[in-house]
Amino acid sequence: MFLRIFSYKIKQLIRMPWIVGWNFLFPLVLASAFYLGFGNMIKDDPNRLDTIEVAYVAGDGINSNFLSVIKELSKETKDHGKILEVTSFDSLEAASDALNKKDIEGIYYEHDDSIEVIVTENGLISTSLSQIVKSYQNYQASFEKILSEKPEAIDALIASINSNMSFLKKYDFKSGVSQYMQFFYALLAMSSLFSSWVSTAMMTSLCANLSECGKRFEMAPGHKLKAIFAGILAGTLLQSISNTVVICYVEYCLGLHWGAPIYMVIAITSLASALGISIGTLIGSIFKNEMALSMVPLAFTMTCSFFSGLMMGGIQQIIKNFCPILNKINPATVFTDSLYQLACYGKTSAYYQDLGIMVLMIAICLIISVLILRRRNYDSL
Amino acid sequence: MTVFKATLLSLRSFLSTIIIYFLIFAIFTVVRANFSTNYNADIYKDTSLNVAVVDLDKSDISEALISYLDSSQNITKLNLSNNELDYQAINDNVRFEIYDYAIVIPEGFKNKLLSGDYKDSIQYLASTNSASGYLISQKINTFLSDIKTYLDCGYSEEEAISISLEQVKKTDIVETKIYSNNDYKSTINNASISSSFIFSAYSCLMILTVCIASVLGFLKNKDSRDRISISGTSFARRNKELILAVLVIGFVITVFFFIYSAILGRNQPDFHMLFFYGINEFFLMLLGLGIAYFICSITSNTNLINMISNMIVLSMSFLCGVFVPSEFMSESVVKFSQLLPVYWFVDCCKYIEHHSASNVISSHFIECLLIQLVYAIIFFVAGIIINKKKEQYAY
Repeated sequence: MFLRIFSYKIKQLIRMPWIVGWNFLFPLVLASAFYLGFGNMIKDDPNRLDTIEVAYVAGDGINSNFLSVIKELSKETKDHGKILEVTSFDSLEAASDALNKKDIEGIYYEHDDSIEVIVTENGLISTSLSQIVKSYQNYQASFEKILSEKPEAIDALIASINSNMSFLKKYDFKSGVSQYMQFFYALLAMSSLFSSWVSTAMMTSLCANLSECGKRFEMAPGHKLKAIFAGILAGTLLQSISNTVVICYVEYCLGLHWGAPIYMVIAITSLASALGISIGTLIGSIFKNEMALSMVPLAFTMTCSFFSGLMMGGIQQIIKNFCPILNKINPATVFTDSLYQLACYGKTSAYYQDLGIMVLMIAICLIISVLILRRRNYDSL
Repeated sequence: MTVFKATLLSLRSFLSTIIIYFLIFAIFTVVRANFSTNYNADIYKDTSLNVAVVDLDKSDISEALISYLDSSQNITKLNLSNNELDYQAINDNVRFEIYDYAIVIPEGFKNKLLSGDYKDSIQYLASTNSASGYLISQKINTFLSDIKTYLDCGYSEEEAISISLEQVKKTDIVETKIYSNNDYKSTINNASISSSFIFSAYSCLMILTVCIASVLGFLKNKDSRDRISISGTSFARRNKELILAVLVIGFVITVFFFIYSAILGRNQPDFHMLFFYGINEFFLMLLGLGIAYFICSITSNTNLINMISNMIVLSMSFLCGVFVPSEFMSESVVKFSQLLPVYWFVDCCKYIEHHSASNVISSHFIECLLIQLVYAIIFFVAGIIINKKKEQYAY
């Protein structure tokens, strides 16, 4: 009986065009939109410091030490890449023209013993260009001060300047996953939670007060709980297949790496699919109105997905800092966090905690659903 | 006015949808306003970054470093002990741009500096090869190099710290000018009323398309349609009332978004441009109505309406710069998104933001509005054609 209901449920679900559309087609469309929207940001980090194209103009016609400093920054060293690409211009007008044409990002204009920075807008590039001048002025000031106050310390000063002091070392987790992959994790979370629709649709055909099919089902002498679990399993299987298609599409067609072995991503997503189905079963057992059975899963999914970072990357981190419990009860965030933990840090305790929370949520939803659904009576008319 | 009232009443079923999408909009705009940055100005201003500092050394040198950084950056001091230090938690905040940069000054840093064994002793966390990482690292290295140089040249510890602090104050003044090329598209300005309006493209369009398409779909149900058609009301009057009801619903929803955006952006510098944002929002409403009519001509099933609306609106929002600024997108994607109506709504918002009230009405402004209107008409005409074809083949 279990296998028969299981196969019938699969047939029933794949014949519903809106379920196929929402659960199979929509995530693929959205993944494509994500890829077109910020796929290049995943492959090429927009925060990365690219070489800054800058013009140098000596107003007085004499090239100072500053030109040597910025030429030094135009070389690639073991500490840093090429910071600047310097082009010398004869006049400020010519440099401004290049700036206007966006051939360069800034101008160093040295005149009357001062260095002026000309940029087109405020931002990190202009601040970095300005910082280079600040550092240069600072070294110059130290040099002059020490020479005037302690001329005997000239050797120590030269040794100090030549020592190329470095105080900082990067703490690197060596995670090659772009922060923008979070949008795709949230997309998988949304796709998994959309499976709540599958179970509300399934519940409609199991409840006598919602459909003709439900009346026949309730009248039949078969084991109800077995039938419900066969339906849940069928829904989970369908949703897992749908998610696997999305995962493979992103990995192989779009060429974006999930940051974890693909079988692990599929396994975690299948667990999330089961969670979505369980939540849908709970919604289906609580709400009796047909409109509510389609609107509540949508509203629930969209709200959870929003807070997991589907539309605004980083919102889950803001919530984590201000009210971490919200992240722990939002199934979409728990799921995205498990993928994030796996991709960035490996199998940490937080990763196992997320998986545990998902299993717990599934159990709670199913237990409550069973309590609501068992021994139901309908008014006799 | 029976049809008018019935249409308005049928909207009650979609109250939850309206509330959900409006809440998403409300939360998003509030969060974005709180984390806003302004890159656009005619006067140069150093970019202040969010820097988290864990000071385990708590020495006068580490405090001087923090005080120096505090003078130009937004510093968050994390009072953690060695045992409480969680690099993963700090890294999460850096990855999700809560902090742009984080440093951990280790215990005994001062002693290491004095003994000369200071190399790579401070650990920092920043995005890989980021510009912010370079900038703050440069600042820290410059300041600490100063102190070390003065110490090496025979100055006392107190002298080295005070001279370095004084010196960076003086040398941090660099004459920097903004050369304006009037390219409003290349600027990102979240500290503006326009960011709320731009995000409303998603929420407002979603509510308009889902609600109006569902209401119109409901009226197309065989049962409702039969009951309406046998009533005494004339065909013309029924349609007039229906159009009026749809316009009223669209207008009220749009006004809600407009008022909320206005309240949220009341302190923003471009608040006085509200009227122009309102005009743009009005054309977005027409676009929303056009899309809604088009969708309801395809199907009257609420689930399918939801799905198609989400596919159209969410995809357009991602491609047209509602969620991610188009500055970050590749050139080919931006060119493609110019074929979509939401792009012109977003572009119009940016245009209003970067122009004064006296010169905002220009050919470009009108072009943006007209393109939205043309798309609204295209969707509407496509809807009429589909409806007509469906009626032809229905018998």
